[in-house]
Amino acid sequence: MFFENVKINLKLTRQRVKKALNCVLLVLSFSACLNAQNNLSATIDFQVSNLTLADALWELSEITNIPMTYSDNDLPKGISSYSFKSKSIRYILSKMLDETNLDFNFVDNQIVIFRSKSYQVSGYVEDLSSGERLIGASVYNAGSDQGTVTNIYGFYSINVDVTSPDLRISYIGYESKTFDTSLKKRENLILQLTPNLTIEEVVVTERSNFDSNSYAGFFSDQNLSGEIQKMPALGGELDYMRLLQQMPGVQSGTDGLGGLYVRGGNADQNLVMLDGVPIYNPYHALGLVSIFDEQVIKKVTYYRGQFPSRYGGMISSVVDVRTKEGNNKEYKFSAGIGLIATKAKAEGPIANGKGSFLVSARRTHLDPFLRSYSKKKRMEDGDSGFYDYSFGEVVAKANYSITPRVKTFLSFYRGKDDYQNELRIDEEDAGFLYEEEENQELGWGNTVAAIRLNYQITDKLFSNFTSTYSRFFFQSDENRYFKFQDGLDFEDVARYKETFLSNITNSAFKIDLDYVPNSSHYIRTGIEYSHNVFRPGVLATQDSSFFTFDEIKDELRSAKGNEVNEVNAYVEDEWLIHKNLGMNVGLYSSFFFTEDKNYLLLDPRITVNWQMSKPFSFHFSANKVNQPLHLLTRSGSGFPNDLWVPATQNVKPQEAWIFDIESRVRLNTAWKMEIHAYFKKMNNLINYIDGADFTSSGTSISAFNWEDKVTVGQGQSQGIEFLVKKEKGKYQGWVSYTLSETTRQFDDLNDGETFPFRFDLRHVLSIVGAIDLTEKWSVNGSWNYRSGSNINLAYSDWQYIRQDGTPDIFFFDLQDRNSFKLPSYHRLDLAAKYQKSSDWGKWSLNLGVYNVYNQRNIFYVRPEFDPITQIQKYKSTSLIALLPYFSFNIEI
Amino acid sequence: MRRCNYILGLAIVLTLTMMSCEHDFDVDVPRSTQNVVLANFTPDEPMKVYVSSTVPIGNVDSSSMKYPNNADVTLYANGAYEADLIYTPSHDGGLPYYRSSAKMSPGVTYDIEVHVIGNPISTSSNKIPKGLELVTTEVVSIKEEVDDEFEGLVNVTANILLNVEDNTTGESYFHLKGSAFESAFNEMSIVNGLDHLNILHEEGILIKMPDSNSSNTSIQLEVSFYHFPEFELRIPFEIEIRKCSRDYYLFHRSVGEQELSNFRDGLLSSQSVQIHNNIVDGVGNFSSYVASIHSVEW
Repeated sequence: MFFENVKINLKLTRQRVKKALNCVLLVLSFSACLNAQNNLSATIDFQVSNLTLADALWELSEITNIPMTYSDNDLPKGISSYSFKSKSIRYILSKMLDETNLDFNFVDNQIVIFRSKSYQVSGYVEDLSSGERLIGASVYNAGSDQGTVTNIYGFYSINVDVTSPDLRISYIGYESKTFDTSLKKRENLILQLTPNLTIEEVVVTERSNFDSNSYAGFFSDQNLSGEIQKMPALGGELDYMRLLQQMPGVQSGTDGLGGLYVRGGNADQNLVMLDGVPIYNPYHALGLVSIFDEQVIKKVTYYRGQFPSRYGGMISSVVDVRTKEGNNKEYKFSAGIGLIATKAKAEGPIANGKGSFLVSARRTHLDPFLRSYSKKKRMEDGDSGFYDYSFGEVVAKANYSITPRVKTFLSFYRGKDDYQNELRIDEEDAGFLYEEEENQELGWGNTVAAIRLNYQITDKLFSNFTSTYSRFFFQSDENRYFKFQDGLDFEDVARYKETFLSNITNSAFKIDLDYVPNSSHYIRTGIEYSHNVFRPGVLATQDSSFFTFDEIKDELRSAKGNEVNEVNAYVEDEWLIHKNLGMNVGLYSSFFFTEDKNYLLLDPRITVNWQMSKPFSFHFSANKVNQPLHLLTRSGSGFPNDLWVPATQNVKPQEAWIFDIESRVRLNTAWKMEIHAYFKKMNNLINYIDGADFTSSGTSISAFNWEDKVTVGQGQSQGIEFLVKKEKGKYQGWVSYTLSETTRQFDDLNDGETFPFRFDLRHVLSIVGAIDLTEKWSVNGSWNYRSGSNINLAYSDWQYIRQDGTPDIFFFDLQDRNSFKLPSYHRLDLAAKYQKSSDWGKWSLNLGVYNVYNQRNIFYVRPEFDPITQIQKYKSTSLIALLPYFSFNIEI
Repeated sequence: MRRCNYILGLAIVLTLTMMSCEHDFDVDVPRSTQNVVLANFTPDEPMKVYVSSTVPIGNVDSSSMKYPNNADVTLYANGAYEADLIYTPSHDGGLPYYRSSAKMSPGVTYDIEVHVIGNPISTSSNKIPKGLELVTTEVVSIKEEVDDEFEGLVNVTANILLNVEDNTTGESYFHLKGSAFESAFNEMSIVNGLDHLNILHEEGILIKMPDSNSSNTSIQLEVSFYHFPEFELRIPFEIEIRKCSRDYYLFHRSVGEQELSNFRDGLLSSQSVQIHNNIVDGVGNFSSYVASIHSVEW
């Protein structure tokens, strides 16, 4: 019982009363609601100065007429002053006992004050040099055997044992540090870590159920932030989406093109978020490079099966990308140039460190060379014109602490890809004249903005209010002109114009709460309103002059899109049932309102975490996930002209059940191993029906009949995933291997028979390694192998003969859907890095080779027939051959 | 510095060139030819089977097509040997085929075996559906409009209700064909929301009826055709209702979809269609139907 060690002092002595007279006592008023029952909720004004806590408590007892019981030995002897106006007795008591290791209770009409076994500490974990708050840093108290990690704003709240008040803080890339909290304030306690260039990757705490490298041991998420430097970079661009392709359970198209396919899911089933805002196409250059510039990324977390309930809306994976907030200690500038792009970043403090800003930009510099090269090439071919391509992006962020408990954030991202092609052909022969002009312009990109406010309501309750905007657009304009003259009177002139517009816009307001009631529970809850506008693709063509083209484009631009409203809510509790047994249970719900149908989607989630012995842990999770959006994709490739569409009355939201069993083995501080077995069942997937056309023509908006072009079916995937990782020391890296099988079944495809998924890659193997040779030199490399993807292929043609015996059209002898397996894909990348620090800053040079042994991996296949030899062939094309690259970066 | 710029530019161009290069190489696919077997058979008529071979990809020239005259085509009825089909040379513009002497019967399952030297033996099986129990036709409305451009021509649009009694369980499949004055209708369409596809290669409409407890099904059809009152009598037009096997329906539906797809600018902008195939070790279609022809007075 609480009272066992408490000496009861039933009567306050006369001596203490006299002593109190030496102090200033001012009682301004009693609240009217204070009654005979000694209600602790009653409000009073209370002000005392220069009293010991014992005397101040006596005064409070006198004023409130509530007896108090406590042990003198437990009370601190220092002198304090207190002043409260219109505050409840409970509030006043809690403030007076704050930071004393004392607690109180109201029993039998008296207040009992006793020594507590623990106290709550809350605050933030920061980078010492930049003030950047650290996401996912582990916070551990050995005395209470409690651990937690900081949330996405660097906030933590933990119960600390009074007998062992040290907090051990560790984070990837930082020196672990221990803080004594007994002599510090316990609210808004800032704990700062120093970056560690030698990278002590992981600290395994004494608490067996607590793995500092994963989300408190509950979720098998992958924190990718520390891994990016171990990877060779295509074209010198370190890319988190490419890093994801090295992780178990993740498959992709050739050379990374075509998006991510996680555990048999489609490319549209990944929730990719930039600072909590959904991104609908996170790629530049058709998937070759992601929009996430490594220089501004703070943390990337990836979930592939065990989804916390705070994430919802996509059924295969979550990629949560968080960007840096900016240095609030000093101004910093960095710049870099690589084979593909040039980039720069500036950051610094605002208002004497109360805030910070960050601005960065990145742009390709290949377009002048592409234009020059293509001009020359076309001249050699007897034509004229050019083509070029570029992408660019800018990130701007600012934050400001209004009070220690309130902080605001602004963030903005804008990225765009541009492709232009101009071609002119002039041919003249024997009086015949032929002219052709072609002009194509394609543009696509994302715009993302967010306003955020963090408010730490109490030491146990943290809130976040966010308003976000995200837009992805794609536009294509094409002009063609043909002219033919026969040298006499005949002249034929044709003009053709076409434009295609597609976009999806999302605006949302969201409230998130983190509540830590005690050491056994960590509760997260939130609610969001989201408004989406879809314009799933409109096409305008004109081959005559009934309307002007601009009129048609204006009509398209002003066309009302398909509007969808969502109200999403979630609640989850991380529940530490026993020292070795934990559970995360939660629910994500979504009310999805479309123009013709409303859906209530419920996603129950549960993850159980059992630490069998010190190195071995076992995890089980069952997740239901819903996705109210579909992607109309011609090739499953995640190209920018794919169309996002909402669920409708006929096409229901995608849904999946995911079951995951995992065993983790922590061999020592450097080595760890994970084995997963999963089963995933997906329903309401869509696919184009056979013969569906991908465009709609005409001078009106006519692409809204997409429901007629798709068929609805299901998918299934099961597999085993292995990951062996060395996270510490001179040699680091990992081996990941996935053995899986994925199928699809649609009533209207393949005669209703089940067929392999296009990316049903039976074996996927990645080996990644990095070696620190010296302080300045390091090398790394990766080798990837995966089974070939499955495609539709015709082995021959055949001719249909009508029932009346007359010959008709020829058909491809298309085999069963996805029955042809392409050759396996494999590739080796190597890179070396030299880095040097000096008084003015630091610089680094990266040299690397992509596809070292020049493997010709197949990008696409086309049929070809040699009429002379009468031999049929399929020719295939590879994309990126051996590619040397460099990048140079400087930071001052 | 200029030299440095030159080297940098050259490096970028070179690497870009390497990056964008296409490297062609062969993909191994099975190269052997297969039999193409096509037969749509119906009761009270002999079986006609067209036999040809697949051709290399891209070699879509009718002159390159070969129709073997020495194939062994064997027919089985309900599992028992029925006959070896006889080669019938090309005549009246039609291609050569193999035919049976006996006529087919409803409700019988027919198997076929086709052996052409050099190709694998192809087999298939199909059961002729039972006949339609009752079909009545009812002209709901007739609309006649004088054509503005051609003097003396009248555009006739008829709305017809077909009442079909079908006791089959599960989904059922129909192929509607129609004609007036010995030519196909200008337009024929379903107006009561049934799952259907207008096909060109065999002119008509394919319909899939869902499984229902009722044996009565109504098909509301709208047809239009031309009529020259000065030169033509108001003779009845004809509607043929074929009750098809599932293989018949799936094959002709996929062929129809591919044809429509080709009209939409071919494979570049369309999903290619997988033609339904029920020939083992070959391609094509071996399927059956029962037909009922009705004259409609107007």
